[in-house]
Amino acid sequence: MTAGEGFVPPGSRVLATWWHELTAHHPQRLWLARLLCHRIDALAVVPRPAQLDPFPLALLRRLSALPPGDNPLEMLHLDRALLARCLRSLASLRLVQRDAASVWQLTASGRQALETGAYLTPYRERRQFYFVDNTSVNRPSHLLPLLHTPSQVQPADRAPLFDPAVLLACVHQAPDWKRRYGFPLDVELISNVTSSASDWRSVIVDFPELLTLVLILTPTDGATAVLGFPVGKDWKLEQENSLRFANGWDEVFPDLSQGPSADEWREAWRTWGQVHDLTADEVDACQVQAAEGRVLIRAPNQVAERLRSGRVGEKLKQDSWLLAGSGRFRLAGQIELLTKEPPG
Amino acid sequence: LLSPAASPPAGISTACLWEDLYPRASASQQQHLLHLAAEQGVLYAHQLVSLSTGAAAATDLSGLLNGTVRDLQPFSCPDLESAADLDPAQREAVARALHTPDVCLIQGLPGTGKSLVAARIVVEAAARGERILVLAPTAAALDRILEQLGGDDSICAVRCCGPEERPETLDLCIRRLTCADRQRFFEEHTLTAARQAVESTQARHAAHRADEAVWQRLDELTTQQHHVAARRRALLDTRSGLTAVLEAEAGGAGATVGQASEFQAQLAELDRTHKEARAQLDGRLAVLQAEADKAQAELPTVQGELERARPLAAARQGGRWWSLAWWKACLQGNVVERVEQAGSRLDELLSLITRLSGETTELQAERDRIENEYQGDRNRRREAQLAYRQGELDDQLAALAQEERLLVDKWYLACRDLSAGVTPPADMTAAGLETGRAAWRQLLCDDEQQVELARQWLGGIEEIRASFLERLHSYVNVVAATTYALPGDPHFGDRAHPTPFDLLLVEEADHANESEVLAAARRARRWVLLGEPLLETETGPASHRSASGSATQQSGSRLGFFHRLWKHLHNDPRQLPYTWVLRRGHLCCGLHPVPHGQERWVQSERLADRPDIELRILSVPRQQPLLVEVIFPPAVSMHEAKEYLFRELEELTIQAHGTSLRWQEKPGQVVLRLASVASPDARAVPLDPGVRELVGRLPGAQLGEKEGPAPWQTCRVEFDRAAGWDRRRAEQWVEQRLQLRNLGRTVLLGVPHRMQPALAGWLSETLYEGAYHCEELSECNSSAHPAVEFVAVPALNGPAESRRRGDEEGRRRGGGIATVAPRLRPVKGGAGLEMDLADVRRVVQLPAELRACLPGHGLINVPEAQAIVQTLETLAGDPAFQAAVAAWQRRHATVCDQANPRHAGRQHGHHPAVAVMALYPSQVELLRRLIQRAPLLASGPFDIQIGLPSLFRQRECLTALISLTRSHTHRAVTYGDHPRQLLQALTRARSRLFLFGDPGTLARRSQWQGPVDHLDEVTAGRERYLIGRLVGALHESGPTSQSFRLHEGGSV
Repeated sequence: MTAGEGFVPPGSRVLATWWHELTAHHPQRLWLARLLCHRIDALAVVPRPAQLDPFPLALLRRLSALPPGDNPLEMLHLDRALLARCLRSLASLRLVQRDAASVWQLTASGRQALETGAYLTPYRERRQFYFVDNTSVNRPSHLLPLLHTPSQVQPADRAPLFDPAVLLACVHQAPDWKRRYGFPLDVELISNVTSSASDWRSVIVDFPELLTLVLILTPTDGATAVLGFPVGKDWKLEQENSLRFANGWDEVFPDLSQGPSADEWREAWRTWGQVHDLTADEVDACQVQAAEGRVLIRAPNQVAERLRSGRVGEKLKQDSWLLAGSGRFRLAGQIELLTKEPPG
Repeated sequence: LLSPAASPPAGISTACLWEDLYPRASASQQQHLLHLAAEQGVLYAHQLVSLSTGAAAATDLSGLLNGTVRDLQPFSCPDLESAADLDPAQREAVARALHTPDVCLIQGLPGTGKSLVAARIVVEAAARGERILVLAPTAAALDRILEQLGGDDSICAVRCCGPEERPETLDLCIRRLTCADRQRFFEEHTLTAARQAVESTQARHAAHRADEAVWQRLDELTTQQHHVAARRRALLDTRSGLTAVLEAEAGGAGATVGQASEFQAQLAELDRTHKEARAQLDGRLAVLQAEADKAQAELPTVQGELERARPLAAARQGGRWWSLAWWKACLQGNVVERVEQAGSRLDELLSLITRLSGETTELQAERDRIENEYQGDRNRRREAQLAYRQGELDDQLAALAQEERLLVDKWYLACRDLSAGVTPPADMTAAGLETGRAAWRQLLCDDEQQVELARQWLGGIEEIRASFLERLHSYVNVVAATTYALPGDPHFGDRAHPTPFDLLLVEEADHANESEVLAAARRARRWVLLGEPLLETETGPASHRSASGSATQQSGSRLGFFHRLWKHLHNDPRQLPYTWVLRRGHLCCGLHPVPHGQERWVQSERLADRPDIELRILSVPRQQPLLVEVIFPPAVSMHEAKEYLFRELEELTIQAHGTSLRWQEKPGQVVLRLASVASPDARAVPLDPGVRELVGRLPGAQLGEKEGPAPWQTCRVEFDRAAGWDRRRAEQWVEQRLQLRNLGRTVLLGVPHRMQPALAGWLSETLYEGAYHCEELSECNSSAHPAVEFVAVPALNGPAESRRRGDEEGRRRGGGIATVAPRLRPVKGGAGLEMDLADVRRVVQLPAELRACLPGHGLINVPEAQAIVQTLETLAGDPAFQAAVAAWQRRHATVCDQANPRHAGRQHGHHPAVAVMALYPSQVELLRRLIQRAPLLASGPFDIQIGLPSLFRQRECLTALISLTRSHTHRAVTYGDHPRQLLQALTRARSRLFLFGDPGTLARRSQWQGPVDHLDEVTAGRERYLIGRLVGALHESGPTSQSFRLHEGGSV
């Protein structure tokens, strides 16, 4: 299942409820986003502090104080194999290394470990990274700065192939970029398999998922930000936003700023009209125009009168929201009914 | 409305994580997933669906033992780099063991390098960062691997000791690997050294600190020396300015009071005297000058008077009255007198002037002389004064130099007082001293640092002292234990650390206990098992060729777990049911073997369209008819027959004599190799499009025979890539037609490394159905001696034997050389030379001194033992043999030292030159006594070890002498506790093998079927096979018979 297929959007009342719930954020626009995401499960190399045991610490001290050319294997009177294993173990922690003359020497990390008694070990742990799939707009997937994982996600049974290079490239981005898009700054490396003989733990796994979010455009500090609220079961909005873009959202969602076309608004109006017992002629007689979060419906007097009164009028008061668009972003707009001037 | 996440589609749960999923996958799934991941760069969730359903489970060794190998997928592995010392099979074994996702079985005949391969696997796996558990049923096998690990720093091995094992009985190099020894080494060596280091650094620091006084003294001496030097410089300056000073003093200034007064007084006196003398002279000169001046002043007057008067006088005297002068003279009066007076006066004046001038000159000369004397005197006095004063200064300088020398001596002495390691000042200057002292202070700092470091090191290792073995656990990457000792080991046993191992390696797995190995297998991710193959009698092709498969089942159930696993995992092309034989010139293809007793149900039919082809069909009542054989007319060649069978019956009638399937991927082809040796004249049989079978002549087979096995075999099957074949498709094709699948988990080692070609050839032919692969086998008769010699005891041409044999039989044998030896006649029994020591009536026949040394029970064979001693004596007198022994000992000493420098100097007795083996302890004891008493052997001409075959497990020798011992009169008897013993004894030697036995007893044993004594039917069958092969060798059959000699005369 992809973002658009088989998705039945919520009704006008749900949109009204969302708008009401989000009033505190002073929304200027509201979208319903149905995003195809790649939840990437990968082995990340993250430096973690660890305490040195007395024995390795003593060994590091001895190594640090050895005059050049002295062989620790001889000086320490330890079993050769045992000492070699200890040194290799320290080498695997990047605390010691062999120099060109195959003499063991402390690395910068080793010297730091010696001073502090602790060291940063390249800890390997599996991390999950969300990428929004931008294949529909002919753009590569982009890291999605989710503040927290939504409680409700739907696995996607079909998805375009994810290019692991996108993830691997994130590691090399500038810190500003990482902060902006929520890539963890502590990740030093993402492991990946290069051959069938590689470590199986390094395999990157892609779990395609569908994420439903309500996005709002909200004013903040003289600018605008985009907030994303996960949609749970029965169209319930989660209290906390899981997405927040102060800037850069157009890079993640290049197609967000493109609003629905006039035809799509008209189609949304037509759907609304069908649901609310308007005849096709009545619907077609109205002019539909989107303007700043509102949908201006210019109806002939007769139709306008009918919409304002009676049962339909009651419904219009409660269900005054349209959702237009057919892609992954659908823009919501509140109906504002205007009387159409008679021709001539 | 369909709300999101209301119904997640079937498939993988989002909660599934890779690290949960992967371990649950089977090995083949894991392999497949890794392959996919490497290919795609990422795995997609839908590719994990099968894992999440839990359909597959990780490979389980016990499951494999039960034959559940369907799930195993073949795997490929890269060739092993840096293993030039291994033969190709050994390299493949190591590579497969390292890369197998689950299990790898390595089978090798004795002497094919299993231990070497095991050691190399351990080394390579350790280098890849893996933890390895090495198990073996015997300590000998275990230690053999550990010995070969060498001094590789990447390996930190621990040898677990069994409860009954005493560490002191282990070789030193093995004992060092035990936990107890490692702890002891740590405490006695590392800790002691660390303590000593603390003490020595402290002592050095104290000694250096004590140098403070020396430095003060050096400081004082340097100061003194500085002063002395200053004084010396001043004196030198004084000395150099002394002339000027004296000049000044002579001039009357700048002198010291004492010296000036004397020197100046002298000069003053001199000046005074000089002045007085000069004044006197000057006075006299003045007087003279005055007189001279007076005379001079008068002189003109006189001269003028004279000049004026003289003409007057002359005129008067001349009377020249006419002259005025005359008149003047007259007028002036007495002019003449006056002239005379003036002349006299002038003379007087001139005389006076002359006198005065002379006197003046004299006085001037006197004055000059006085002046010169004065100056000379003055100079002399000054010079004397200068010399005097210089002498004084020189004395002072000499004294200062002496003082300086003393100071330098003292300085050097003080420098010597500095402790070792302290660099004395470069020179006796303040700067030099300061530099030296700075270096000393730095040394003190270094000392303090060293003391601190030594203390910290000591503290660090003392802290881990109590938990050393626990910490050792985290550093050890090779744990070696016997299968029975591992579970109970306190440090690495089941109840100790549950840290899993990456690899379990079981040496001698064919002798290991199944439950112990299975228990250990749970602690490792992958398993490598090494063992020897069974003799052909136990697992030969015949047992696999039953139509019903019941024979396979039966034999399989009796096999040990190693051989059961081998059977499940290894696809032996010889197991294929197809047989090609020639029968009266007709080529017959057996498609299925006919079970014993069902031959009568076989019916013949002719094909309607090819009446020259005869079909033989097994039609057992109430069973489906089965085509068991196709007989072709004489004109049909093997290739045509094969092509026909594939085309008409879709039967891939492969008959191959190789022991393994081997896939090769070439640029244009995928090749399945079936023969161990390539056949250059192989011809292709076209099968499917792009597929052909290459059929070649069997090595050594003769063409043109009308009867017997067909002399061809399938060498390989080739699949053209151009026709769309790839490895996977080809494997499927072969599996579909032959039910053969090379899982890549078995490797067969066949190249003999221990035995020389002649001996290997004989063993291969006699015991292992030609299983040893060695190109040199054909040249095995190049040695001066046959590799194997059988000494018949008693002599076949002796009286007892002659009685047993007819004269005619005896005539056919001659010379005792078996190259022309006769066939042994079927006999009813042996010579009866064996003796049971429990039989008192027979024991009394032994010499008393021998009897006292022997145990109270057990079998001995005195004539056989004597024959062995005699053979040893013969060998001792053989210079060629002595040279071979010397070379052997050198080689083993070198090899041992190279393999592990820590083993250097070890006794070469570990691999003796000569091994004397008997199958019974009592015979071993008898042999030991007799060899000790043999005069020629008492001097120890070579290294001889005597024992049961088990003593020589995992060992080898140059020459082996085996006493078979048994010599019963009529009964079929067993040879040793188990046929394994005899097999072990036969495969220990490198170059020569001597067998001593009673041919009659051997022949009797080879004729007996069924259980014998303590041996059950299966074991007795193995022993019978073995003895039968020996008896066969006595009959001189087989291509390697030139390597064998039968000594009929009871001795070599």
